[in-house]
Amino acid sequence: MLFRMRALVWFLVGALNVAILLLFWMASLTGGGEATAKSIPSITSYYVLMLSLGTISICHIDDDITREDIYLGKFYNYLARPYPYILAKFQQEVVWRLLSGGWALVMLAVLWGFGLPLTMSNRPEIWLLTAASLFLGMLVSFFFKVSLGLASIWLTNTKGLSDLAEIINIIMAGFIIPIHNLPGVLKTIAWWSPFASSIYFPVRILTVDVPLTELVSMLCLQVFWIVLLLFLARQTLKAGIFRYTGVGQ
Amino acid sequence: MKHSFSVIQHIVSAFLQASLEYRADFLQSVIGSLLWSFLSFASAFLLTSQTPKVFGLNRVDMLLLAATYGVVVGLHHFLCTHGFQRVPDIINKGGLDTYLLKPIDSLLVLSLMRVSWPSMIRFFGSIFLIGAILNAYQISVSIANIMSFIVLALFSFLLIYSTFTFTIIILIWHPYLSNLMELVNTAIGTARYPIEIRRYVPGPMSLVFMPTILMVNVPTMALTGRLSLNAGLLFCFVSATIFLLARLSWARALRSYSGASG
Repeated sequence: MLFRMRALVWFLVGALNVAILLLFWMASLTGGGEATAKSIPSITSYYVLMLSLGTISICHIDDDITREDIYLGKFYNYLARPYPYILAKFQQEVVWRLLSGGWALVMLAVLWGFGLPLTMSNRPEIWLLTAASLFLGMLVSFFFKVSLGLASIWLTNTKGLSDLAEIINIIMAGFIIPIHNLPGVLKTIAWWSPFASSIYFPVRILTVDVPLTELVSMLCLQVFWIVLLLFLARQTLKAGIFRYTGVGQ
Repeated sequence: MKHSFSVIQHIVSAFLQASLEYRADFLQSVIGSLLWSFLSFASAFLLTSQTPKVFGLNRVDMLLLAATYGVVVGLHHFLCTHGFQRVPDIINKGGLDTYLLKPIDSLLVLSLMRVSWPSMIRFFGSIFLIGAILNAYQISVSIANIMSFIVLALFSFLLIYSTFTFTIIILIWHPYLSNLMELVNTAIGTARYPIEIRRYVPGPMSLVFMPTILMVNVPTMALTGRLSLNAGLLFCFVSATIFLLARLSWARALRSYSGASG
């Protein structure tokens, strides 16, 4: 019960952010005639799914690594065990993602029950592809956050770095506006960034009838980021072990 | 009262010295603070790049709202937010007793125990930006408007302070819910959106959104001369009442504090 309440609060944090943007868009689109009125269900679906799927795929393990493992010195416990550190952290994080995801699914069911217009595919193969993309997105986010958390071995305070990553994520993952609506070069940068891979791609697969070539390119890009960020996380861990003093900070 | 001000003065200057001692940390915190300000402006730019007017507000109005948000919320971040954010940990580890034994108001000490000097740069930067926006877009503002803005911003400060106070009161009974502070921060982050959003908020949800949205919108409306005297006075009265209620609730909640960790 204790952890379920914490998971609910984390879910509400995301819900509040998305809800206010959704209200903003509904207000913008309501006065725009028939053409824009048609896009209200799609923008509603977009933000609701960004919120609900985001709670599953976007990891927050960096905070745990920084506070518990590095600053309080618990990192040593993991190093003394014959078990890979990154795998142990992944197992911890998966539990949180499932708890938060549970709340998200409850919210989706309630919204659906109240007749909120959600435009998404009803084809089972698309749902399977979305699930696969969501899992890949979670791995992208997880490996990125592991490297970010381990940076605290070198830095006294990672707040600036975490804030920077969070702000880039908010913009580049499409939380403010969908990536396809971002202006100019920002759209291209966001599309190729790992932030889009972690949440935007699964939502796009579920809500838009994407062509096969785009679908394949999105999945390939996710795999590319997983390989690159896993390598980065492992190298950071390897270098960090030599640097780590074992007494915390 | 004089004693309290003397303690506050010492706390504020002690944190300035501590901030300057760890310069890299200070610099990083400044960058973090400026980045969150940047997000407010980036959001305003990105949203208005898709639609010319929202709720009758154009890009200038949205930018002005983002700048006044930096002043009102920035002042609270400078003085109290970081202090409040430490409270869950203190309560959870049973350390509140230490603060209750001090010969000064416990809520005052807890809220001021982490004065964040880096946020001061955001605060002053936002004041500069308000001036720059008003100047660039030729928006005329009278002295009376500026004075009203300052007074109402201070009452907004009390409202934000009360919100955090009510949150730490919940933590006395549920110390494991430390992430409630994140929820409050997120809720206060919604203050940068226009007040007209209320028309699209379903009834019961207004209770969640409206208090935070009013925190920045009311002083901004006063600055641009769009606020009536009655509305301003009502806002001051409601803020002061909520502030007093928060302090009374805190005093009442302390009776339930057991001193055992969570």
